[in-house]
Amino acid sequence: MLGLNKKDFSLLIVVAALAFFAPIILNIFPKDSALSFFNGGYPDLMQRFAIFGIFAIGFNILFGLTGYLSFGHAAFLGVGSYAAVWMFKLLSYNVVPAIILSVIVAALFSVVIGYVSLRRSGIYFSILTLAFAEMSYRLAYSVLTPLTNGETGLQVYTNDPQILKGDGPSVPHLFGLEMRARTELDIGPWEFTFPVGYYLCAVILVISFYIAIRIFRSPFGLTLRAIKSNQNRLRYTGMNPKPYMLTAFVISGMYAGLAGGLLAAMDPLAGAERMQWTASGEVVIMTILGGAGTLIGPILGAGTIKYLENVFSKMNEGLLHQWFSFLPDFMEDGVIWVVSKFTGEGWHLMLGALFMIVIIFLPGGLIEGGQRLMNAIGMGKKKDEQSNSAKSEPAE
Amino acid sequence: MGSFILQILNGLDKGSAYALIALGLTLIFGTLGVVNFAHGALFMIGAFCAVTLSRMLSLSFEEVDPTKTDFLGQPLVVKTPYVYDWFGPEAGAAIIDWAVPLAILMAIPIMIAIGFIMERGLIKHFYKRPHADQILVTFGLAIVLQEIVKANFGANPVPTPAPTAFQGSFDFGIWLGFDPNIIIYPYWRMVYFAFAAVIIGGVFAFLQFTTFGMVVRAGMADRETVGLLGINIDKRFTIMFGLAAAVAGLAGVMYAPINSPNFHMGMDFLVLSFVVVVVGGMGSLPGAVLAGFLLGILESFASMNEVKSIIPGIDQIIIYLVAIVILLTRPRGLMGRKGVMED
Amino acid sequence: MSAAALAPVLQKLYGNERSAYHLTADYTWGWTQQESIQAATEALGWKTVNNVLTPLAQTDFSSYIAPVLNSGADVLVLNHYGGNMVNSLTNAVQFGLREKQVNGKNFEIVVPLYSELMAKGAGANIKGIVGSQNWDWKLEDEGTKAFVKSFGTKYGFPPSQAAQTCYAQAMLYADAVERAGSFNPCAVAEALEGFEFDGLGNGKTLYRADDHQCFKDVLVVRGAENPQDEFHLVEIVEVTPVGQVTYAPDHPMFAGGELGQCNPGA
Repeated sequence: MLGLNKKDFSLLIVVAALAFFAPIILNIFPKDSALSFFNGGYPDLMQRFAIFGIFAIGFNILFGLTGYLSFGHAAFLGVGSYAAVWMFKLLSYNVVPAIILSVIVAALFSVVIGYVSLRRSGIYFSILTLAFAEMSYRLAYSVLTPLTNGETGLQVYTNDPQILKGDGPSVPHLFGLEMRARTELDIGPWEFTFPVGYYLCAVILVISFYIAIRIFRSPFGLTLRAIKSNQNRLRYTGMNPKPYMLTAFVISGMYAGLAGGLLAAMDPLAGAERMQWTASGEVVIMTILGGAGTLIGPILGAGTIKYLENVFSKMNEGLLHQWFSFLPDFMEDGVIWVVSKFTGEGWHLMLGALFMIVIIFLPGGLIEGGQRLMNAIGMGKKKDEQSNSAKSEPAE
Repeated sequence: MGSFILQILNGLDKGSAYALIALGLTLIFGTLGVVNFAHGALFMIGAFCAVTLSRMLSLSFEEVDPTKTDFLGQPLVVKTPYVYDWFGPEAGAAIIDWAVPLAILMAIPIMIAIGFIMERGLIKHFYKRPHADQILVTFGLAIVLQEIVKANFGANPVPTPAPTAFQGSFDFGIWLGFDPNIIIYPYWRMVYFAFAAVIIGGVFAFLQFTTFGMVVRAGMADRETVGLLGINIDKRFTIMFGLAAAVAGLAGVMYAPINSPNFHMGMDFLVLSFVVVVVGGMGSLPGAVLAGFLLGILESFASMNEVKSIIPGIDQIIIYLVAIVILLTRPRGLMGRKGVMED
Repeated sequence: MSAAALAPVLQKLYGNERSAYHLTADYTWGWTQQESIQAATEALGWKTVNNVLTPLAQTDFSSYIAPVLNSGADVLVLNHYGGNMVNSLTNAVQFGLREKQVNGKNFEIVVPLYSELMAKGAGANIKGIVGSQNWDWKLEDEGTKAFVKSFGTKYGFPPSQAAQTCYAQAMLYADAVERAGSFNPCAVAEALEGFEFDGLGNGKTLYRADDHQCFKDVLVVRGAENPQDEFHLVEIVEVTPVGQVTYAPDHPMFAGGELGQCNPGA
């Protein structure tokens, strides 16, 4: 179906179903129950799941397939956002031209950076991409302020031309359908929200995922894996890996630009901090946490990180006291002391620790963890060849 | 002319910090073949050794002084450091004043221990893993270390002054025949430069003139052969890792008075010091030192008004620009050996 | 605002014949701050020798401070905030600027806007540095006293201006929601437009309807020479009344453009 084999097609269906029912799955706890704290089904967070899922899928096409570790991908996300907001400023709040332009601009940008950076490999490639991204970030903050509005962030002002706006809405919309519009559904104690903006992101996520599967399964994807396992051998067979590398780099840059454009479409504001190298580090962490080189891993990683960031970072001590009040006092204080180091303001500590654990013990990410778990409890089939070949090979 | 000389001084001073960090990075890369993204964190921990010692020395016992009141109108609790009690107020104050130089003594064993633990506990398992994995796991470690420091010392910078004797600045220009007040330079920054020179000289002498150093250098050149000769190279490499950690830590201790230490200072220096290593040539110790000073000076020149008025914003990107140019034109760096990490 | 509040004090302390050298954080906040300080000091008769933009990510400011030595300036204005300010001030003091004599006058450093947290980060270097603040726990009004008392009893140290801002904002928000009878952001905004209140420590405060700017008294402070304890790092030099810092909504330097329509976000 759709040019996919049965297994990939079912994977696509799973992702589509998850994306479609996310507002229900993520709000599984009734509104008034104590566990409703863990609900993640509010529009802002769900949009982030989808958008950063797209970002990570794209990053994975470069890193997962070729093993080239870019530390500058946030730059493409940043220019994507800027391009989208400029479309809002010049044309109208319709998100279609904005998203299209953000992909195009990110593509151009990544052709230039990719062409230069790909002349080196390994750690040199990482440093080159990092240097380009840091330069973009610093210039966007200072010298390029006329273009980026610097620290304030690029936003739409009432005196902007918006030549196509007419009577259209003054918020981002898809041919009149406002991004922030939503339908609420109350069923008994449950409350579900179905936002338009999220569904736009979700549809694009599913399409992006489909394209990624096609790339993974194509001869082109196979060539990229050949580059990862042994570039020299590939060269001896008479193939020039450079154009393939550049194509992969540009495709993943376009995914990043798309994610940036969507971020702007959900909230018409673009800031330079989206381009900082730590933001690039974040997508690296997402991809690896989920499982680099696997199809669904990056989406899983992006979801996990965004969920932790939004849910664990708001666990404060008061809340912990509430939860652990069933323990005797001396134990309660001890438990809370430990847990509070990893939650609330300390959630970065958890992120770092989790990331280290994954790299050390599960180089294949959460996907590998899941497979091992399945094997351990005897439910998993014998590892099939697909997942074997998709498993991480040494990146060099 | 005066401002030109001043900027060279500034460059040498900035370069000292870059060179010290890059030296440690190169030692680790050259000996162990590991790309250590947590090296900036070691520098930061060094700086916080100085903070910790100055806090420990200022540990005080409390007495209530009923004649005075605090900001809430309650009787004032007067804190007197224990060292005042033990050594008398004058000697006690002097000890607290000299906390930063004293912290060197504390930092050396701590940093070596951290280095050992890191190498034996974590890095060792990554020798056979790809560079990307090494980068990632040490990046994770850097986040963890930085968050631990943040949890204990807070997110705000902690002022850690130099001893009073080294505060203020020195009129350098008079020596060179300039008018007074043209070229003055802070004492502590000159101390930092001298300190860096001693450490760098020490490391080179250690590698050059001791048998241990000779074996390590041989190991850097050809690990397998040295291993075949029956020499336990692993143990020596562990020691080198400890040494590299100590160099980064000492660079941090002495840096504390220059800029108040904060938890992300390691990340601030990390990217920079990698650029230094790459520009100098991966695995080349003299290259790391040379590139450190060179980039420090270039950065200082780029921030001069005369330069900025020609190319606005150049001071924002100069380091990265240099890195890109070097990587594209001479990928083995200024002094890298031919064939080492050249593609 | 800072500029209008500071200028009279700068005149009183340092006179009318000064040459200022500006170091400015290279982003929008730094630029506007620098522009307003330059305008206000030039109105006093001060000269502006130079304005140098520094990268936001800069940590070592030595190469920006060094040229100040021979520029002929006798005042250094640091338009920096947060970590930038802590480092640039520390570096400036290291270079001995505070002990310098230029044009027969003592060299001075001015930091137009700073907080106790920044003063704490800069340590002893803050001594004698003039700047402005929103609020300080040493103010004598009843609202401040009550807040300091309950905050100090709970945490053991007096509240910073950040603490006061957070507390005051939470109170204001709760009050606005109550008056509006709704959580809708647009209704809350409307309740705050043109709202004037008193008693939260800053004296009479107005949220002007025309441009949504907040007007209140501004404190001019100076780093204490001999702080009696760690809580007295800064001392209040003067409270500049709100009248002196208010500007017209269409002031060319501060006008932020039209407000546009309220967007409730949902």
